[in-house]
Parts: sequence; C-alpha cells; structure tokens
Amino acid sequence: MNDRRWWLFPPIAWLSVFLALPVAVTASKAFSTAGLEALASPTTWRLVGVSTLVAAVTTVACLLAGYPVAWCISRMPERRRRWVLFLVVLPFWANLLVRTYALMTMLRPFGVLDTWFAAVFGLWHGWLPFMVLPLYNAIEKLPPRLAEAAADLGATPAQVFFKVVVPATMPGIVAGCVLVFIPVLGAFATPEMLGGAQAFMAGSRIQLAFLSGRNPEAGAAMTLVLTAITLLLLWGYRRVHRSEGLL
Amino acid sequence: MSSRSRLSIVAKDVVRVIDGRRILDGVSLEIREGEFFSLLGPSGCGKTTLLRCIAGFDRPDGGTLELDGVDLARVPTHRRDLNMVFQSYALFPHLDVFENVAFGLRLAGSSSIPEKVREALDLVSLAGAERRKPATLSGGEQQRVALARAIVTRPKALLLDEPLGALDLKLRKGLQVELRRIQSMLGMTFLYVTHDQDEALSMSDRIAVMDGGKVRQIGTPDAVYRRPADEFVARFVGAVNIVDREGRRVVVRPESVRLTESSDIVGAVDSVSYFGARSLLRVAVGDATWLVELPGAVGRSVHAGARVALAVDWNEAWPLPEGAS
Ligand SMILES: Nc1ncnc2c1ncn2[C@@H]1O[C@H](COP(=O)(O)OP(=O)(O)OP(=O)(O)O)[C@@H](O)[C@H]1O
Ligand SMILES: [Mg+2]
Repeated sequence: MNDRRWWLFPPIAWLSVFLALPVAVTASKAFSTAGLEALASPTTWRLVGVSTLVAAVTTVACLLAGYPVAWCISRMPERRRRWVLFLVVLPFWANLLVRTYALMTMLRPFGVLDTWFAAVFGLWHGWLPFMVLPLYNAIEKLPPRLAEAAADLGATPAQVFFKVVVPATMPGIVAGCVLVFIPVLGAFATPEMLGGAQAFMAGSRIQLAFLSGRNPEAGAAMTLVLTAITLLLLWGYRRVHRSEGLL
Repeated sequence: MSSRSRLSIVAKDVVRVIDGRRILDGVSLEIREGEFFSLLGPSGCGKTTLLRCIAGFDRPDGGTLELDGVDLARVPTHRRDLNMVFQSYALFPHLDVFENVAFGLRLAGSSSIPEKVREALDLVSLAGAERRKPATLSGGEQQRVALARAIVTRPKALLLDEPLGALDLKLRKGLQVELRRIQSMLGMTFLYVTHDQDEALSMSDRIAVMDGGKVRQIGTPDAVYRRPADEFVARFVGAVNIVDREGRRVVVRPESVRLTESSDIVGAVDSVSYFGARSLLRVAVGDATWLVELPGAVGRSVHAGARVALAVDWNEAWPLPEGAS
C-alpha cells in the first residue's frame, strides 16, 4: 500500500468524525417539518440579519483597531515585540465568562450596560487578538523597502498605504476577518451578558432551541443558515481575488 | 563622455550622524547630467546612506543636496524626480510585471501606459513576461523588472544601489554591458553604487571612491586607477605595489612590472596564481613582496622558488602626493 495514502487516513478520520458527521446530523434535523417551519419564519431571518450585522460591525471595528496595533508592534525592536505579542494574547488565559464579568463591571459606571454598544464592545474586545495576530504576521513579512519603492515612484503616504501596503498584506487581513467574523456570527454569551435582553442574536436563539430541548430542529436550521453565510462569504472572496491571482 | 556640463545631482558637505557615528562625514559631489557616476567603496563606508539621503528615505544632518539646481531639503520622496533601483529589487508582490512597471505611470496619470510599459520591457529584454508575478521570476529577471519600473517614468536621474550584487558573475557581466547600453541610449544620469572595483572601472564615466563616510577621490576610471590620490584609493582600486623611490611613496601596478634578465630588483617567486589570460606572481624581494602580472602563458612557465629579476616601467608609476595617508 502506498505510504502517502496511509498518512491521509488520520485527517480524513478526524474530519469525518468531527465535521462531516455533525453537519450530517444537523442537516437531517434541519430538513424536518419543524426545521423548515423555522426557516420560513421571519423571526429567524431577522435574527440572522442582526447577527450578520453585528458580526460585520465587530469585524470592521477589529480591523480598524487591529491594523495600527499590528503595525506598531511590527516596528518595535525584537525584544519588546515579543513582550507586546505576549500581552496581546494574555487575556486568553482568563476564562471568557470571567473576562465578560470584568467588562460588565467596567462598563456599568458609564451607563452603557444592556445596550447594543456594550454587546459589540465586548465582542470587539474579545476577538481583537484574533485580528491582530494574522495582521502582525502579514505586516512583519512585508519587505521593508516596499513602501520606500512606492514613495520613490511618486506615491503619497496615503497611496503607499492603500496601493501597496494593504494589498500586500491582504492575506493577513482576510485571515483576521474570517477568524473574527465566524465566531461572532454565532456568539451568544457575551452579547447576552453585556447587551441584555435586547442583544438577542441568532446564537442565543440556537442555544435556547437546543438547551431547552423544545425545538432542536429550529436550532439546526438556523445553524445551517449561519454556516451557509460563512461559506458564501469565503466563496465570494475567492471568486473576486482568484481573478486577480491573489490566492 | 557627455560634453554637456549641466549639473544633475549635487551634494555639498553632506553629514549624517547615527548614534553618534558620522556615517557621512562631509560628502561633496557634483554629478553631471547624463553621466554614469559610480560610488565605489568598501562595505559600511556610507554608500547606501548617501543614496537614501538623495532619494529622501533618510535626511542629512548637515549640508545640502540639489537636483537640477533645486534644493531637495523640503521636497518629499514622492515629489523627487529620481527613481531608485534597490539591491533587494523591492518589486510589488501582489502586482504582475506589467502593473509593477506601470505603477509610477499610473500615479502620474500618464497617457498611453501600455505602449510605455511595452517599450520599457523591450529595453530590458523582458517582453512577454507582462502577466507573470514577481515570485515566479529569477533574480536576473526581477532585476530587469526593477530597472524597467524605474526608467519607464523617465526620471531626471536613476539611483542604483548595488543592483547586480545578488547575481552570479556571468549574469552580472552581461547586465553590466546592458545597463551601460540602456544608460547611454536614454542619456539618463545614473548614480551607481558598487563595492566591486572592476564594475566601477568598466562602466563609469567618473568614480567617487569613498571610505569611512568621506570621499577620497573623484575622477575618471583611468585617473582613479593610474593616479590615485592616496594609498587607500590605490589599494582599493585593483592590486598594487607601493614602493619607496627617491624618498617618495610610489604606486606601481602589477602590469607595469615584468621579468627581465638582470636588474637591481631580484627575488624568489613566492607563489603563482594562474587566471587563464593572465598570471599573478608574488615575488619576495628582501622583506618586501612584489606583485607582478604576466600574460597567462608566461606565468605558467615560472615556478615557485625560482629566482627572478624584475624590470619596472617607471613611466607608468605614480608618486603618492606628499602627506597623503
Ligand atoms: N539606521 C541605522 N542605524 C545604525 N547604523 C546604521 C544605520 N544605517 C546605516 N548604519 C551604519 O552606517 C554605516 C554605513 O552604512 P551603509 O549602509 O551606508 O554602508 P554601505 O557603504 O552601503 O555598505 P554596503 O556596501 O555593505 O552596502 C554602517 O556602519 C552601518 O552599520
Ligand atoms: Mg549598501
């Protein structure tokens, strides 16, 4: 037997058990009477819309904050750089719930608790490192002479940034956006704790449907919709950028 | 060499201090329009720093820089009508060859971009590679793209920082000739940085020899080679014998020495290095060592240990100025 094929077995087994099987179970539940009913309900689509919007806003906020942070880190001297990267990752050593409670305490005095702002702020805070790390990775790999070459050929600082730096770090931008967008799309704990009753997103609905045990079919249907949105975005990105030969 | 005498790049007493070290220590140059001017010097002497100051990536701490009579102090990089060719090429990885070359033209809002790009790619013999990405090109090809990208906007002068440094010898020789051809065809001012004296001698109209942040000598290749201003220049630009004669220090190039029947310079051959077309002998005379260059075939017939007599063509010898180091 061919060695190479043998090595393919573990990943295939892993994917079958942890990806294909759950998707199949979810799909079989979703395409039931209760599941299809949920798909036809306007509430489902309103929640999906809200979640998509929140995920998009959070992703953009993470990108806007993460790019300058990643940029500054990449300009630091080697030793300090390692320290700052460590600090960026540090919050992950604390449990998500603990961090969210801490944020609640922080936000309460400002009177913004139980608002959409608090919900998005919490998500932004929680997922920012997932944006910073891939961005840093991409910016750090940028040849140092690239920006100079662009300026030399007549590009203003803004043109250098948008015509050379951004396109050349696009793989990092996309990776960061994917890493933030996908988990935020299905988030429920953080928005519920910080945003209160009004910050009710698709994730909350799914969690409720499954955990209360009353309507897992509806939960499965919504899960599929969220998965489909993610896949659609990835596919769309690939279509646009393959024609430019980026991926 | 061009007979025009208009000046292109002028540096007056340029000083650059980094961490308390004078990286550039009062550099003055006057580069004429259309000239192929080389900066030659050992590693770390400040060549790149000077080029970066001229391009605007770095700022001098003293002195002035001018381009076509205009003081550059207040002109930002993107407004300087100069283009740089980097040793590391610095091609835009997300753009193909065509877009790399078109980059400067698009920023300038230039007309008939496809024609200009094609013309530039023809000039560097890269027609047909328009749609390839830099990552798929060889080092020599990337260097050609970098050159095309720099000349296509027809800047007033081109700054080249060891553009051939990363290439193998054969490719370098070919590109040296090509660079020179392109330069004279366009009549563009080239400021060319190298630490390879053969390259500087064979390509340049004039050479500035630098060391330790200072210019040691400016002159034609012939002047720098045969009439060096000091011992450093003499030793840096090719192999050399420096001997005492009539109380002066005198520069004698190895090719001005030949073997003879009898003379007052007699010694034992230390070693023979054979290079094909020529041979280099090291001859121990007293406690000095003489370098002697001979035609290859002649050198092959001499063996280490042999006793030889040396004849010097003193007309070709050059006394170092008094007081020069
Ligand atoms: N940003 C900097 N910080 C500290 N030192 C620097 C900096 N830039 C240059 N130097 C120092 O200045 C000196 C001259 O550097 P430069 O790069 O101009 O040399 P060079 O003549 O181009 O050498 P090479 O032939 O090796 O490229 C070197 O000793 C270098 O270490
Ligand atoms: Mg250098």
